[in-house]
Amino acid sequence: MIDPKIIRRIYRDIDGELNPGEHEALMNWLESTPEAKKMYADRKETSERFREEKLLDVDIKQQILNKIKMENYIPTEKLSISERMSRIFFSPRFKIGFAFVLGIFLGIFVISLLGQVKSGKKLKQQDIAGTMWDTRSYDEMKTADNILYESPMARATFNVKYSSKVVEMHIDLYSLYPVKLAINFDPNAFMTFNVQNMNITAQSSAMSSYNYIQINNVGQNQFVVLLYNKNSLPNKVNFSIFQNEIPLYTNSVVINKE
Amino acid sequence: MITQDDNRLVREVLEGKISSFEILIDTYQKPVYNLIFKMTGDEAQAKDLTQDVFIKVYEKLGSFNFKHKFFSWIYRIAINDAISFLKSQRTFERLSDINELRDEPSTNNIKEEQRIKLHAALRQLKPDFRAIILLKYFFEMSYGEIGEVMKTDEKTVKSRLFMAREKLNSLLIQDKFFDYD
Repeated sequence: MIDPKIIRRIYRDIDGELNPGEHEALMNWLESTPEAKKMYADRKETSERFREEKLLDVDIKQQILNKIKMENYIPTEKLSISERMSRIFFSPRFKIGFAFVLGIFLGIFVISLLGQVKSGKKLKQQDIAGTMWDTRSYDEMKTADNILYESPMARATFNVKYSSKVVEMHIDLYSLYPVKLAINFDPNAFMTFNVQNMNITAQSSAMSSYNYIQINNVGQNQFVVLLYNKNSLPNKVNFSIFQNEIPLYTNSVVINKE
Repeated sequence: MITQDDNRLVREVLEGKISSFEILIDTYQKPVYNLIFKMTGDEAQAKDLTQDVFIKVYEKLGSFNFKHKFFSWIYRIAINDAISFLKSQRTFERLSDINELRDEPSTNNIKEEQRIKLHAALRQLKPDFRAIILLKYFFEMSYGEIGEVMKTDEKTVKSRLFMAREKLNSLLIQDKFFDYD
């Protein structure tokens, strides 16, 4: 078995990489080792047979030129990143792709607009009556009740109207001393939209929670209370007037009677 | 190795001087064809693949790196194309082509018979071993040049070349290539 290092050295010699001294040393060693000498001769022969090979002639230049169609073909240039980017942005493929995506977005936008318009047309007058859409329509709303309370301590009127979506209460309150008006309701039926004091005095205020509105009043004030009519089913809204936590008056109004 | 002003010719082609590409074809069509032919053993296919190599070179000329040598680039493309072809033909290769070679009329000319055996053995090697043997023996490239073509370092080239040569040698022994002495 010949050491692979020797085989490598043999190849180096065949490739002409050994210097004369190394070559001579190898030759001397091979002379003393017949097996290695045969190995060297075989590999040398292989190398020589390959080197004797001649290049076969071929002429396919015209076929290549015909395929390339040089008169109308421009080889790809080496481009900088900015040039590549600008080519991408201005390429027809990119433009078509961009137009396609833009078209989809525009389509979605238009469809959503049409949807809004379409659903807007479906709203009936009674649905929007009393809301910001139609502030003149309070008179067209259905009357739930008109209540008058009068005592030496306070005077109040409650004009309550409703549509299928909104409950609107016009409340006039007069008291010489501080009184509290509490309005409570079922939160599953109503939700506070807005409470507004039309005549603001320094000592009047209003606050609301999910099922309760409290108005603190001194003097004469007018309040507009808007509730969202959630389900259009008959439900009560309760009014109570207190002075120093002593109830002066309690009443309720049924909404959605019809 | 062909190392004439290839890079200058490439620049000229890129500047629009198409006649320079014709010079490159004249220079390289023969070695590229022979390399592919010796790798595939199929003359017609070698011609087709050689054309494809030049078309590919022309189309990708803009991406040619002038730090490298043109010959290493074109040979690399040729070898890759030949290997792709061989992979696609793997199941048919040995039986058809090698037997075809062996079936050639026998000759008393020992060298001719050896040549046939040599090519038969060559085509039993893995494609990348074939390529490295051809680059070394047939094109007489240095390790560095082979490294450039195969995109690898000299150490790897030496190692692969050694393995390829030894494999070839064992095939030749099997085929009684050395029994003519």
